[in-house]
Amino acid sequence: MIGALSFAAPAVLAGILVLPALYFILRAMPPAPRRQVFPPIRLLRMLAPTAHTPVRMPLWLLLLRLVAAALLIVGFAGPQIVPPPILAGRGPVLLAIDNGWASAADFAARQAAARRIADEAGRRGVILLSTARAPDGKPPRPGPVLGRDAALAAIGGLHPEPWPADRRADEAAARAARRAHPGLTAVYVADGLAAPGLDAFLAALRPERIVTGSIATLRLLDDAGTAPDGAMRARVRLVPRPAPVSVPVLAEDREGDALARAIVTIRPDHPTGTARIDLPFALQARVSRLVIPGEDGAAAVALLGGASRQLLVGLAAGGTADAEQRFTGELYYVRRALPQGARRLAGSLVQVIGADPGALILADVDLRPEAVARLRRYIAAGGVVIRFAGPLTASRPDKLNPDKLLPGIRDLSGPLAGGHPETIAAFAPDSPLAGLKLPLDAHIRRLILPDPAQLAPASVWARLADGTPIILGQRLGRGALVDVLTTANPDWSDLPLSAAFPALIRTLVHLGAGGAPSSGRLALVRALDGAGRLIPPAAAAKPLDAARMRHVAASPEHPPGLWGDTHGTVALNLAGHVPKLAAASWPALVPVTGLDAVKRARRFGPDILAAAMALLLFDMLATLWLRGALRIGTLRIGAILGAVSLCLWPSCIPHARAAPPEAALNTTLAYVRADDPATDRIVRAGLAALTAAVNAETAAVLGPPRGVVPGRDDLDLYPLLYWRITSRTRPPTPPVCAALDAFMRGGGLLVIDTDGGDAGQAGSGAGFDPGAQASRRRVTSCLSLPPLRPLTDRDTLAHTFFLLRSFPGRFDGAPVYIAVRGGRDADGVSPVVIGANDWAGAWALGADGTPLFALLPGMPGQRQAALRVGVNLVMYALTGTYKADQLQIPAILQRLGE
Amino acid sequence: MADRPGRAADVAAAGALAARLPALILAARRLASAMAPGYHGRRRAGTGEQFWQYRELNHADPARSIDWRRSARGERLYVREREWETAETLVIDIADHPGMAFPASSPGGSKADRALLLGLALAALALDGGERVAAWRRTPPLGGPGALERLAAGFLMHAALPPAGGRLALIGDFLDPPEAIAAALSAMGARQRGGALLQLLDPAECDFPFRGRVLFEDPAGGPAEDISRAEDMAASYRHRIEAQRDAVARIAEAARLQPLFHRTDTPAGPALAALRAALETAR
Repeated sequence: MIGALSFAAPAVLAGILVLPALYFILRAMPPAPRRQVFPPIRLLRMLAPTAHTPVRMPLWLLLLRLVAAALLIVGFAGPQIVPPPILAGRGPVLLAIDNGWASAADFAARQAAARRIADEAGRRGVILLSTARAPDGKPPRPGPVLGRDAALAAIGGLHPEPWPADRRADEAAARAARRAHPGLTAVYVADGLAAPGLDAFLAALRPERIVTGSIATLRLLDDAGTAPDGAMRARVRLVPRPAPVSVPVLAEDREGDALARAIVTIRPDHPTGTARIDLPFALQARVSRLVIPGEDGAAAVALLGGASRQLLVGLAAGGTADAEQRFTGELYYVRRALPQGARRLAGSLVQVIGADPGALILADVDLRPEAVARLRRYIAAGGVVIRFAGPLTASRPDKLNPDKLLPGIRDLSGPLAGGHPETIAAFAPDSPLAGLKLPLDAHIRRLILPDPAQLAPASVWARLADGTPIILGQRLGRGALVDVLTTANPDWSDLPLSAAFPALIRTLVHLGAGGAPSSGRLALVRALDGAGRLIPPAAAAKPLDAARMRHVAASPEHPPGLWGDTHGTVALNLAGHVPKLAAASWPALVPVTGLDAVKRARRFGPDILAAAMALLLFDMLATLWLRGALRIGTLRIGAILGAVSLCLWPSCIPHARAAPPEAALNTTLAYVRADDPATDRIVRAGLAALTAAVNAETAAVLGPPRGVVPGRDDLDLYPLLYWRITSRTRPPTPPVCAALDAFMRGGGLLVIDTDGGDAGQAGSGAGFDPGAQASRRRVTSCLSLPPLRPLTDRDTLAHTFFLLRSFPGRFDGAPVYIAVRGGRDADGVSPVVIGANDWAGAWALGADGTPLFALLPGMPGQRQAALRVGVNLVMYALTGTYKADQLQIPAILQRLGE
Repeated sequence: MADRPGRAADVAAAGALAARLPALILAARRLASAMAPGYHGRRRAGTGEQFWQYRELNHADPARSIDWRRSARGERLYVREREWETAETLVIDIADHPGMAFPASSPGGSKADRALLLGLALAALALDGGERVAAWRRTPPLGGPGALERLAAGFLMHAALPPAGGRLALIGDFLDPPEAIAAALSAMGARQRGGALLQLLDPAECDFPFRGRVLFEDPAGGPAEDISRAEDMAASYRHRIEAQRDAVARIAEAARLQPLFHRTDTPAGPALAALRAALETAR
């Protein structure tokens, strides 16, 4: 190859002649000394004759600089090795590139060859023709005449498509190009696979040269269905070879983890080979595709339909409470545990079953006989029903499960049970749950029991440590029925909170036949791209008739991928419709070149320049050392600085784990931050005093109060949110309203207060803040407040800690409002309390511990009473209706007395 | 020590020094206050302010020396004698040639800084003891309140006044040829005055810590010295500087000055104590 070495700028090499002159100049110029002012220089002068040595540049430094200079000259001269030209003729170059599936495996090499050709074509111009149809369905068409750089960029943008080249359209395109540019030279970068219409295309193209890779390495993987004993089979097709070929095949799950590996051996001169993939049944259901490891392209991937179907899961809950209520709802945890791709539909049982979901999750739904019959039909047709128990089903067992369930609840850990919560000890080895991680962190406190006399042992899928069945399941028809004998929310057990709960739900919802839709129109769910990756579907994909699935060949309209409807998905694989693989035969007179024979020029200039720069850098360090400026200590500091600057690279800094918010570790009161700092100061001082009072008076231990901005801060952490509205408060934005609504819905207590009101209204605060009432109406208009009524001393709030007769703050007499019974949450706790007595103003203490505000009318004990209101509010937020029975105390005492 | 023309750079340097003077004076006062209390009375009758004793009038005493209040109590006439106190003059000279500015940038400060600090501290001690202090050919003998500030300002001036009498305290690096130093001392009349000579040197001047090729420049503007391997010269240089120190000590002793040596990387306190002790004994 030395013979082919040439220089891009040979004239620069003349600079080498200067090197001898440089030698003498450098020799005469010693490195510059360090300068040092030194007062006792007279003493040095007396010594100097003995120590003064002639200064000359050390020989090694001289040689180093000469070598660096020589490298610079050679580097700028641009040495390169240019391969011999492959293009003949004149006129633009028509570059036809196969980018069908068969070119995917070595597409980078094809691009490199095409770049080399475009590079050589240079000014002649390049017309690009990619032979496969584009993902949007457009047929191949010759492009415009491109300059060298544009052609290189266009080649870089090519990618293989997961369908074959369209030879008929290619022929038309080649003819069109020939017509438009009669003098062009054609080069064909071919995939080398025989195909119908290839000869006609070649006749139209009349290539000067054909560049092709070897098709001996081409592999086509197909799913060969299941063996009679249920094992999976993989089939590999290739161009027949005289020697046996072994091809590894991996069975991968949805996440791309290999579950099994098989070797497909193809006998000599045979086009196909098949291998069994032996997997336990439970694992087999997780296989989503087969791949040939190390091969790129759609041909090396065979998707499986059933395991990767997109599921519609129906959710229904019994009872009257909101099943979606955060943290306590029946369906809250189930919904979050569903697999990522699954679609969910929640509603009544009738609505949900009408949508024909793949699986149905019923949380404590008691069934009427006609619903039982409907569900039986649904299961037999391939549906999965997963039932969670609860108070309703415990009181009225139905006949859906052939294993009889006993009425009543078994309490494992109640005060009367004397036992302790149990964990799930084992999944039955022959059940679909076998192999799942045990939810060891889930303690089951209550459950319902099956009738042990009528229980089929095979239908127990999971047991507690003491042997009590906890999950019953059986296959009925094509579907399955699963009974989880505890609740879907954390009322009876920690199972929904367990880390293993999502895996359990995922396994259960996939139990049904669901399976391959065999009729109707299918839509493309996930498409396979030319490199063998799953991507979102392109717009050109058209729906497909499920019945014709077997006869559809891969094309832009029907790309390989997963097609499906609500029932599940079917895989359309490339391999199904590719005809027998055979090598193409080329016209006799056209020279054929291998891909690796087309090489680009190799340029050495940049490498040599880099070496010269490295030498000059070393020279700099050496010079510093000679001058004495570089000592070991300096080097050490430099090394440390270097390491530190490397450490500033983001990957070197250990990621600080986000600390949990303070309020999550410590119960804390919160207030809505106002626009003006004065209000914030008063409210903060008031809540701080209230926190101190609560900590002193009650068993609750509260942290220092925090100001929050709804919509930005997480309100879930706070039991009570105090909002002081003044006449200057601006109406909140919709996100703030949504956050406050969510706070009230999620069980928080919103306390709305004003600092006085208009003149002439009820209470001693009248006239202190004219416009505050209107402002409160304006500000709260976007909240979904429940219907309100005045608070009386007969309410739970008046009994939660202190017994209150009135609810004074800084003022007294203004009515306090609370939600009516129908507007409260499931436990009967009001989500909101609205007052106008300025409680925070009464609580607030200055830095010196004295009250900030005088009270009106200033009754004896008014401040104490205001603080008691606050303590009761906090205890109401923390304990809910715990003290509701205190209301009945007088009646009970009276009755006892009698 | 010779007068130099007032160049712009000198003016700037003097300005910078003047800006630091208040801090320097404060440091000097602090250093002085760490010493034992100032000069004490001489414990014999003399021309002081303090009462010493009464004695009977003799014939040689002038009549106005009679203490009438004491004499009125008895038959005899008494004279009130006061304690004999010294009010000597201390003349401080601090070398101000360009080499004193070495090292230019150093956390420990230059030789000139240290010399000025020691000189001012010594002056503060002397003033506290009731003595009068002069800067050599720069100020007349000063005493009383404000003297230290005026003295500090005087150190920045050019030597233009006639020399004042008194003991000498010479502070400098004394790197000139020994003959030149001896000539300068005799020109100052050191033999007649007595006192102390403090030679202070930077550690770099004592130890010669240089390596590799170094171009040594003369702060006074003389020709530079190009040394290819400085480390080879260290040993012989150290002999040289020792010899210079010995020569300076010999010359000082010959001129009845107590020779003292100070390295600027050592604390100033001991050097000040040594100076003071040397001046006490030189009295």
